[in-house]
Amino acid sequence: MTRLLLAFCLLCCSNAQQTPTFKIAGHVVLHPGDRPVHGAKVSLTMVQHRDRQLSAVSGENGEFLFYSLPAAKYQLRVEYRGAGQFFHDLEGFSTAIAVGPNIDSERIVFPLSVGGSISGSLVDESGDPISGAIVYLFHRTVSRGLYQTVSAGQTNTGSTGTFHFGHLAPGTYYVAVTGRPWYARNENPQLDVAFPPTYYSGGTSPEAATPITLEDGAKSEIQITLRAVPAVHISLAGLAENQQVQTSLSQIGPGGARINVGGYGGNGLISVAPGNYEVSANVLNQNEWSEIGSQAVKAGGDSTLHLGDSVKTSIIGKVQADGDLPPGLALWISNIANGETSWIPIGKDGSFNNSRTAPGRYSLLMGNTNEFYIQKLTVEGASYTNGVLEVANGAQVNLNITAAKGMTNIDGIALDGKSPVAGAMILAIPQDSLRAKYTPRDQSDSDGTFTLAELPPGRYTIVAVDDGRNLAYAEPGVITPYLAAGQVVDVPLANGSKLAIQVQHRR
Amino acid sequence: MTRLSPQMFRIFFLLLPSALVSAQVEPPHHTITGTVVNALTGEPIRHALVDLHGIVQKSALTGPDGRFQIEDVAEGQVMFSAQKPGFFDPNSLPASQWSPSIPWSTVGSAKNDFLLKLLPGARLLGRVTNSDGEPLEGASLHILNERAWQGHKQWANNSVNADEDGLFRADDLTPGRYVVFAHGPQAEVTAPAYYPNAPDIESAQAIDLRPGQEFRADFRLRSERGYRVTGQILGVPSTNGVGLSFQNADGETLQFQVSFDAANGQFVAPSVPSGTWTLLAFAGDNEGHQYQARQEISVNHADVANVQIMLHPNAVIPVTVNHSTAPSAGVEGSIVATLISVDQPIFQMNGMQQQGDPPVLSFLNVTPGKYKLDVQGYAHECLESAWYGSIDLTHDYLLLGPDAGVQPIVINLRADCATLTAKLRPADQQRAGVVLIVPTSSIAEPKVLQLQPQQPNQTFNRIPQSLPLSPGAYQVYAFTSPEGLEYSNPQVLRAYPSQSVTLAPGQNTELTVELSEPK
Repeated sequence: MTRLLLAFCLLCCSNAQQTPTFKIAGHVVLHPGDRPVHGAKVSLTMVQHRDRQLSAVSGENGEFLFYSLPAAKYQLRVEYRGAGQFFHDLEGFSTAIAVGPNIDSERIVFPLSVGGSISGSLVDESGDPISGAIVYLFHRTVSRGLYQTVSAGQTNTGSTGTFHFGHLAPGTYYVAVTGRPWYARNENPQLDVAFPPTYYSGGTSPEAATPITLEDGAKSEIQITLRAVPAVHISLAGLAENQQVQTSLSQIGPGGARINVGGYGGNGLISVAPGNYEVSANVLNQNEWSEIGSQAVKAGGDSTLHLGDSVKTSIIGKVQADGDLPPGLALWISNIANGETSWIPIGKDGSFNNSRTAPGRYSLLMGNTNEFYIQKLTVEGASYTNGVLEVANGAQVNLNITAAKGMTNIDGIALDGKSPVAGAMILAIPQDSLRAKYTPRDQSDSDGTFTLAELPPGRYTIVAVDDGRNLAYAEPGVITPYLAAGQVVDVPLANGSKLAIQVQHRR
Repeated sequence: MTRLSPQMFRIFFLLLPSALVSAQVEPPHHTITGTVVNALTGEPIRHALVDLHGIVQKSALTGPDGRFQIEDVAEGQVMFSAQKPGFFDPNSLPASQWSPSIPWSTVGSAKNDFLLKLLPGARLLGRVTNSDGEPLEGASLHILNERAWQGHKQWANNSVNADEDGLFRADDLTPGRYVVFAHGPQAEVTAPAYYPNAPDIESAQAIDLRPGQEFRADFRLRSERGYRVTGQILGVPSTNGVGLSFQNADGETLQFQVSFDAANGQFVAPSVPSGTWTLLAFAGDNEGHQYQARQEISVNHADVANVQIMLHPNAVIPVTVNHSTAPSAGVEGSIVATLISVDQPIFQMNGMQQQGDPPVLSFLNVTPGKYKLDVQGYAHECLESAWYGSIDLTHDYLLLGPDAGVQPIVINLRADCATLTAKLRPADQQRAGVVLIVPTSSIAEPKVLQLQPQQPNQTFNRIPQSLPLSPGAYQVYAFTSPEGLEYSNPQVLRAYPSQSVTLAPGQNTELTVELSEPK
């Protein structure tokens, strides 16, 4: 039996008696396995009026029912056991349910992915649990059409040395660990030891990390042994007498993501396992901490680090536009290798400054706006090719951006012959190399319709693919075979025109 | 049996080197050995860390047989501490049957072989499900450990969350009395409960954990319908946002979802189960002032709308101290004054701070409530009277309303203090202890006088064993340790032997006390 918690008046318009109404009904099943899910919270949100919501609880056989719904599109969401999921959720895009005359919206099967998990325990060379260690999880995946190794979580081990990552999508994962032996004592040479950053299944370099392949819903259990080694010491030079300094050590992990490594010791001295690190430092000047940059260190034995050799990597620049810039405007930069993103605030006068940029390859967008796009870009201090800004360590990058208004939406329908296709991935592949790494995207709703939002003017090839999971569409070698059957359009489209796109099968 | 509290443990370390250095004779050095064992089973513990605290601190790890060796240790008194994951050192415990009777060891010319004992930690684990038996992932478990701190009973809180299967565990717990509180995740509305299924802490089952014990506490939280609680926070001081949380009557913070719209001050808590809750709102302005408001909300199987909560700045109460003689440099710091809340489920106290030049003494960030003032004078001054307007704070409580104006607290000190000197019976001279001096003619907190053990070969003792006291009537108690003892509660102290004493102005009284073991 379905227990309905209806907020009827929220959805119905005032003349509900004269307006035909419709139902959304279906079942929630676990995926994989197709077992009915009893007791899940099922929510509907009207796409055009997001404040109008309904919710119900699935019955014994996973069934749910919403009735008296006006014709519209609804986003469907299920929450169960602390996790939530939209209908056919893929990277934030989902398939909305259309209701109206001649649309079947009463036989929905909501496949609820239970997600997998990676659990484990950390022990030292004596078999003792390691508490207080930091465990990093990385996911090798396709994100926004790019192959990336992204951070998928971080946790601390408890007193029993155990850790757990739940609700994981199927795919390839890496685990890295940093910590300190619980018995380490800097003042005792025999106990002056450290753990090197360690990657599952025990290697101490990112290249030696062993991938963990997680099937849908699978539970993986691992054990990692950390082996203490004699610590090496890095003395800091270049400090004024009694000047306080804060240092942080990091190592580049899988995909280029940063792993923080604790360096222990007094002011001006770092005690750490031998290895390659990036050392960043802040010093106290007249009661204010100031950042002095970072430098790479190969710690093979006791050594001295000259703080004066530190460098800062920065991105500064200016945005110019006709008319005033809106408040809150930002430059959004995204690391192509690991998905790490930064928002660089843009001032009223269009200037921006970010002195904490990590070296890497970035794509750029105007952020916090649905009006402005990057029309023109000139770059000093870095290269910008095919939509990728390549920032070297210590680079002082200066961007001159011309922003313009005029982004538009494209509406259309995804078809297989004449039949609408639900859940297809719709891509607008830009032909302008300035935007080569940013692809506007949508997912067709249950009636096959879609909206590609906020497209800058220009020529695009519109491509529809029936199964977009893990499709690296931003990689030229992957998308090229689909372009031939795509539809080339010049944006903005003529007023009121809509696209009809034939859906291609996944290659 | 003598027990050393963690505080006294530290004091002892501070004392020891100076006591030995004072002899100014380089003592002979020895190699010492020892074994670390499981105190319950006697089994040796491998790879345990032994720290030796003496003139110089030294460390060693035990081998596979639990044995350790430390070279070049100066003759004299030392203290050992040992560590091993999953175990704890009995020295670190509050007074209990697990604490060692003698806290230090002597390194001498004879065989220096020592036995160190570690206790295995206890564990609480269980599973949290809803009415249908489905696991409640993300349910929060508050592991509450009964403690007495500064003589006040309180529950130390350690939280863990249930995993996808509803399972939770809390390891390495020290022995003592525990209560477990569970409440469901935001995604699913359930009625919070104390183990096994009690609505409040008073009716909860106390779990007395012994070292190494494992206790299973399963919860089946009743699935409930959630109701919508909406309203507005008024008096928001800045755009920095407002913190909102729900608490139950025992002061436990709950995870009910609540959102706040800074633009209009409206808040929405969409799924609150039926019950009586306290909504706590707090904020800060750009000048560093804290604001707070509490409002009780009764959800009785229906939505609650139009709740209005007015934020008020927490009070800053200036303090005027009238010394008995003209103050000399630093004399303002020669009293310690504290406001102790007496109407909150969680023990809170505000210390006094000194600000600016010239110095102004004040209690900062005082939230509305009922308080007791406690003053301890030093430098031969003691409390004569304390006033908040016309309220005599030596006999009455300070009641602070949410938006009432604040008056200064006036503290008058006197110089004709009485002095109470306590000494232990000869048989107890080498034991540590505390003397509690409980005023019977005012509401002031008991005064605590630490008695340090007399060391062998120690010719002086730096810790004073007397206190300047306001003239009046007192009950005097003596304990091996105040740790774990709810000594601010007269009912608790009534079970122990005591001596009555009435102190006249300027009177010096010496008492010989007999140490009691706290129960």
